[in-house]
Amino acid sequence: MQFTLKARDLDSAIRRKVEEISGENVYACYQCGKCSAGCPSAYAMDVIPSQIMRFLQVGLEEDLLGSNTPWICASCEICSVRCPRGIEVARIMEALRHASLRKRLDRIAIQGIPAPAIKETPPIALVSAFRKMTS
Amino acid sequence: MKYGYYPGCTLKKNAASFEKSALHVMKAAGIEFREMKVWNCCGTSFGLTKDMLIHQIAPVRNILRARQEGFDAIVTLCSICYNTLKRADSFISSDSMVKRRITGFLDEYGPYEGGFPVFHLLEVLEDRIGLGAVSKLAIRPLSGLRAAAYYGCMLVRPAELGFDSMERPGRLRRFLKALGAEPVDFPLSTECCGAYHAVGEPATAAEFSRKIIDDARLRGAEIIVTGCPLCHHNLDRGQAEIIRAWPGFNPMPVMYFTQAAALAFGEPAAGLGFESNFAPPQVLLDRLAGAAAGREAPR
Ligand code: SF4
Ligand code: SF4
Repeated sequence: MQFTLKARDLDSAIRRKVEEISGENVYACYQCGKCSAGCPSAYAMDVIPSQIMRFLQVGLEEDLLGSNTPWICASCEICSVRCPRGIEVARIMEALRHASLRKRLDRIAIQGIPAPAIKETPPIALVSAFRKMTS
Repeated sequence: MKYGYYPGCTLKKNAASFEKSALHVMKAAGIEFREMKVWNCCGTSFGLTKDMLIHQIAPVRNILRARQEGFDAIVTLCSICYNTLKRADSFISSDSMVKRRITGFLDEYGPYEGGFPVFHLLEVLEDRIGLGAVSKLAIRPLSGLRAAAYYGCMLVRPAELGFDSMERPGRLRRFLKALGAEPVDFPLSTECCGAYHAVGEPATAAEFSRKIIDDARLRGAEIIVTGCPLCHHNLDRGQAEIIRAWPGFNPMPVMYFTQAAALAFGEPAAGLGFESNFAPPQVLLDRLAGAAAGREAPR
């Protein structure tokens, strides 16, 4: 059986969007897995960072947008500084968050945070969380 | 060098103990500084999108204000403010189109080429004041205190802007040594504390922090020392959440490097804000009190 796979069949709107927002090239990834190995959030992600890179390369749009990964990512940037291909994976995560946030699909509702928690939580945490999880 | 002290929001609220102890340390060390008259949110956290320049306005405005007020450099305490200000400056400096658009938007401050120096207090203490001078100020050394130097993310990443080696930083370890403590090295010293997950995913943040605390304990630490108010929040206040998930968890005291220094410089513990800690650094306070009693005891 013959099977022909063309690059353009694998391309996707989400790949173009993520590259535009992040400024990174997803095809530079050679799947070494180093980003996932060092990621402190990987244990709680449904798709680990190196898989996110692969999914972008092959255009698995629904799996990317349905994944909890960008929201579990803590923007610690371990992945970015360790990638042997120089890909800033943390920017890829930010771009995936923005792909949803720019459609006003917020991850947290500010009104839902109880007043005592707001008082107890440092502004740095609140502002960062709103930056990352709300539009 | 005249330093403009940029506090940032958290130092004026939850991390008041960080600011108070830092002001004491800066004065004792003879650093020429004054708090900036006008400042705004640093813009936290650094915007990782390439196409949204608006995120760079807040940090660059702070830098331009510091220049306008006549300072030679900015000194920060919060690691995230440090990272955001320094990176925003580097970002606009490296791209002439971006620089033109941002400085054009902030035209009231005049032309700006980038490169205004931004330091973290630990850098100023080590590189300008010197650890020898710090040691001399430590009239009440923290002898025998096994302190884990915890950096977190934003002081050391990205590599080209961090204040030290990104995989094995030493600034905090060396500083603690100068105070007379016994710094403990531990592999998770640059692992994320859970960061902003404190807001929407407290259980996740607690799991991050638990691993860090357990790792430090495993290497023999009896206290964790940090230079970031968000790390402090997650590692200290987060212990309530950790205990919910791990009832057998033993509390671990966490404090700011400036609190450690203020104590060593002879400040009474009462004014250093430890009462807001979830886990107070009793081990250290008892030891210092013991040493003082030993000194005063008749021979
Ligand atoms: S570390 Fe870089 S090259 Fe390796 S899998 Fe991750 S993104 Fe790909
Ligand atoms: S930035 Fe996000 S994806 Fe990258 S290592 Fe940190 S938590 Fe994992």
